[in-house]
Amino acid sequence: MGRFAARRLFQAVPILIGLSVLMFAWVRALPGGPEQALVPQDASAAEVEQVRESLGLNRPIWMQYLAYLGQVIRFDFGTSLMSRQPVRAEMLDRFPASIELGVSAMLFALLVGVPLGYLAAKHYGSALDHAFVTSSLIGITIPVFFMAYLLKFVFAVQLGWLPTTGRSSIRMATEHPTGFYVLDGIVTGNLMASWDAIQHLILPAIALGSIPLAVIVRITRAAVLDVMNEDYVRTAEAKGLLKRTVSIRHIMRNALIPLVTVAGLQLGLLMSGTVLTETVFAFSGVGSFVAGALFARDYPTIQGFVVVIALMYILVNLLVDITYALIDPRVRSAQ
Amino acid sequence: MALLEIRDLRISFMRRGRPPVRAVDGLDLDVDGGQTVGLVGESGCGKSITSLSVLGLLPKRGVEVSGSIRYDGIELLSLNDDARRSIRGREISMIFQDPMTSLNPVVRIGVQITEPLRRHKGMTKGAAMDAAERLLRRVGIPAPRQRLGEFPHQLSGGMRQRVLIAIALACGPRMLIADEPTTALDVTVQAQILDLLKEQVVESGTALMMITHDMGVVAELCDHVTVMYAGRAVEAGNVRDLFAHPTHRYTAGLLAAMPRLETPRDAPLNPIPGSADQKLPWDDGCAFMPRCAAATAACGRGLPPMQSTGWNAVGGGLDEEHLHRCLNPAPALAKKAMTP
Repeated sequence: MGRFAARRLFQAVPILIGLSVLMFAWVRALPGGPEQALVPQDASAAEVEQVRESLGLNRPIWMQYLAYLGQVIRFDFGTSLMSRQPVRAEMLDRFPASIELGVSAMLFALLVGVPLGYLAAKHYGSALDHAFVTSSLIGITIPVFFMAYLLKFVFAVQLGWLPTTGRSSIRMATEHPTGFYVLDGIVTGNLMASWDAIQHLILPAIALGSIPLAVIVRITRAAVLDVMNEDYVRTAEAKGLLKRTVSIRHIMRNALIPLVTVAGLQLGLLMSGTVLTETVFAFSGVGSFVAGALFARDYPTIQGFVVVIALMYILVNLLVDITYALIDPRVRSAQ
Repeated sequence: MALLEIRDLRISFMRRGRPPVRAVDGLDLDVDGGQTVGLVGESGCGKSITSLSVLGLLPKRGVEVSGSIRYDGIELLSLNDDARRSIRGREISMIFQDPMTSLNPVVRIGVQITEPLRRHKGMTKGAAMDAAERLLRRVGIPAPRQRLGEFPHQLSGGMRQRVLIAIALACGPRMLIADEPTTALDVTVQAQILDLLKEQVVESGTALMMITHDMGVVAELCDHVTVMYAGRAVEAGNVRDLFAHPTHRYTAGLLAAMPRLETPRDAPLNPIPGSADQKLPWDDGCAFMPRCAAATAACGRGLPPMQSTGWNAVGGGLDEEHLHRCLNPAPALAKKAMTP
């Protein structure tokens, strides 16, 4: 298993290099440039050229790329053209936030979606089935920003049960060694801080998780329906096993296989940041930050974030493959 | 009283907006300990459905079952789900047709064999594993300890069927139902599996209900046989009687259709014309009528009752009556039919 994981990671290197080339070229092909965003409107051509030179933008593009690659290998993603801060510092702040949110949203979608999908399949064709399938559609049809505002209005503003914005309360003065606030609280022994971070995560996670929820309900339902009619489930029933043994060991374990694929793809999407949810809850994650960088033509920021997002996709896919192998012995022996 | 007594079993599948499909109609069947009873017929004749109804494995919705299935004096059809679960796998076990799909691909063999032992016998994991090892050895699997840790895809089809038999035998059931257990296997493995089943019946006095469409398997294994056509029994009797004097035209056709060693290689086969889905006169007459060369107008008017054929002499003094449901029975075959 370890060797398999190492091989997959190694295979990711050419993907990342190819992607960085594409990104580098694409960002520079955009009309306008960072100097336009940095200099005053009435700046002279000489002033603009001076800015370009100071940023290294007047060198040939391949030289710029090689210089960039050399930095990236040392985990140096350069300096943001907007904030003049190292891009890495922004990453260490933003990525944990988005990952925390994405994983929470996925947890919500799985914890709610899998049981709903299972029940729908068990009561196939009944009113319950129709109700679950239809209501799961709501997650897809209601725009996520509307869902976010609705949740925020009801549970944060009106009822006051949960915080409206941010990742933590201001009065909660804590250290952030990892950047994952829930984890930070545990690491520093400040469980109140963890609880505070969890409270801040609940509403954004539900809003964001409503998108994969519908897909997970449907995939679970379809997978369980498929598996329920398999011969080996009949064998299990013929043994006179208890209902829950048949459900868990013989039905769910096999239905997990298609579910893992879909959940993995969705998780990749969620973790790469979602501008709308982050904006509504002022959750300082990747999505809104990259959108801002794009408008400012902040080359180093865009490039760096896209490469790390790609890396995250690759890691999630690796995770999916490993999970496959854990669930299905046929995959294990095929490797 | 036989161990399993099926009386007037009727099974219908409901359909929305259309009349229900009667899959089994008025079936009587007895199976006793140490006895092998064959249930024979082509696909869709209701034999598998019958076996599933004995175990209570038919879907709960959209199926109507009436009549009586008594096991050891207990009426199975009136038991609740929990009671049936505690009989399944402990008292009555089943071996299914397709060993390639009947084992859970993601669960180790050992767990799949020990499941019924832990559930019905309350064994600890260790004791159940030891018992599973003995079971695998008994069904002829080499290196059983090692097999327990493997997954189904690591085993051949014949091995998997042996594992399924081991699962069925795990709790020492008094009754075994085998639904075409050799259909998916190659011929040499078929013979081994049949020997294994025969051994179980002879040595442990297990009652075996053998569902098959293979007359060769019936001749090899069964004491009694019931031939089904389109949901009804059409002929039943001692296997020697039935093979010596098949009287229902369908049974006679089935036996005549079997290729034999002594017939020349280039001789054409003798199929029964038509196919079983022509069930037109089902309600008022013999379902086999559209395919029957000897059918008369009377065959389409009213269902003939199961009645004695009058041919029991060959059975060697056995007391079981040879019954059929035919108005124009076949005469004794010109050439002696295959004898078991």
